[in-house]
Amino acid sequence: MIWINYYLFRLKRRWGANKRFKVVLRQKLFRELMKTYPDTPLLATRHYHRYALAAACLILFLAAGTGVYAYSSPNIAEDNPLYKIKRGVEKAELKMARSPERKAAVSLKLLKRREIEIAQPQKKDKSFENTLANYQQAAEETMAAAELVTSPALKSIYIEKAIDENLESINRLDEAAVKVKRAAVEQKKLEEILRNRSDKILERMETLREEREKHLEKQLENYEKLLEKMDEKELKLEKIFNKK
Amino acid sequence: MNKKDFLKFYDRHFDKIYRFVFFRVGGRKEVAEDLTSEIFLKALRHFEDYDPALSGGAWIFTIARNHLYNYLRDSGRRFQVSVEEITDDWRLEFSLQETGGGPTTEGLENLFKKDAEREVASLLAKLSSEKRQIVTLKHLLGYSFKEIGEILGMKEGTVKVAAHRALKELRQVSKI
Repeated sequence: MIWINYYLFRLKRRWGANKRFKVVLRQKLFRELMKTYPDTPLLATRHYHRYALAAACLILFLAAGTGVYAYSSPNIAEDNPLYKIKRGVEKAELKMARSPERKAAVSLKLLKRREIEIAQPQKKDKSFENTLANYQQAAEETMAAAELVTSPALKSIYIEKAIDENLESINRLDEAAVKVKRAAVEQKKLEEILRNRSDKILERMETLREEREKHLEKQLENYEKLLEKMDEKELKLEKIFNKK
Repeated sequence: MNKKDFLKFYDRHFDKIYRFVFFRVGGRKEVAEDLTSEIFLKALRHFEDYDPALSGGAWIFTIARNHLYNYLRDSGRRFQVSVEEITDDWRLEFSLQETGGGPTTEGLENLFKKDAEREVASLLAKLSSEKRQIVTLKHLLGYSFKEIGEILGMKEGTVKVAAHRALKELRQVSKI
C-alpha cells in the first residue's frame, strides 16, 4: 500500500515554484512598478516586513506589560531593576496632570507609594538611603503642589489634605518602625527624617494658622466697617423720619 | 484596479498560475518559470483594466491560457499529458491519461519522477473524471474547495464530500 496523502503532498510541493524564483520575480515586478510609482516606498511590503511589524508589536506589548507591572507592584523598590521604569511612569503621570488640583492629588498618591517603599526589605544600604530621600522629596512635593492650587477655596482644602496625609504618613511609619527590625543606622536615619518632616509640617501649620487669623481679622474689620455704615444709614433714616 | 495593488494580486495568484503552467509544460521547471514571469509581466501592463468584481481570478487565467497556447503553438511541441480545450470562461477541464500502459512520455516522466508517484498517477486515472479533477485540483494544484466549486459548478460542501470520498477510494484501490 502506498501512502496516498503523502505522495499527493510531495507531488504538490514538487510542482510548486521555487521560493527564490517567487521572490526574484516579485522584485522584478516591483522594479517595473517603481517606474510608474517612484515615490511610493510602501509598495515593497514583503512577508518579512509583516513579521518585523508583528515582532515590533510584541516587543511594545511586552514593554507596556513590564511598565504596568512595575508601576502597580508595591514590591518594586529602589534596589529593583524595574524601579526606574516605575519612576518613569509616575513622572509621566504627573506631567499628564494638567490642572494644579490634579497635580496636587497625584502628589499625594505618590507620597503613599514612597511610604510603602520604605517598608520593603532592601539589600543595599545605599538603596534605603535613596528610598528615604525619595520619601522626603515626595512629602515636600505634596506641600508645594497644594500651594500652587489657584482657586483660593480649593487651595486651603488641598493644603489641609497634604498636611493630614503627611502627618498620617509619619504616624504610620513611626508605628511600623517599631514592628520592623532594621539595622540601627537605618532606623536612626528614618527617625531623623520623620522628625524633620514633623517639624516642617508643624511650622507650616503654624504659618497657616497665622494666615487664617489675619484673614479672619481682616474679615472682622470689614464686617465692623459694614456695621458702622449700616448704623450711619439707620441714623440718617431716623432723622428723615423724625423731621416728617 | 490600481497598479499599487498588483503585488497583493501577485501574492494571491502566483502559486496557482505557476502550477497551472508547470502541469501543462510537462513539468519543465525552467520553461514554467519563464512563462510565469511573462504572464505576470503581461498582467502588470494591463492591470488597470482588471476589475475583480467582474472577473475574479478568471482574468489572470485567461492571460495564462492564451500565453500558454501561443507558446505551445510556436514551439510545436506536443505532450502526451493531454490537456483538453480550456474553455473561454476559464473553467479548465483536463484529464490525465495513461499512454501505452505506462509512463512513456517526457511530460509524465517529468511530472511523476518516482515509482510511487507514477503509481499515484495510475491510481488517479482509475477514478471517475469528476473525482480525478477534484483530487488533482485540490491536492496537486492547490485550489481551495470554494474555487473548485466555482470551476466545476458545485457547492463547496459537495466538493468537500466528493474529495473525501475520492481519497478513500484511492486508498482502497491502492490496497488491491
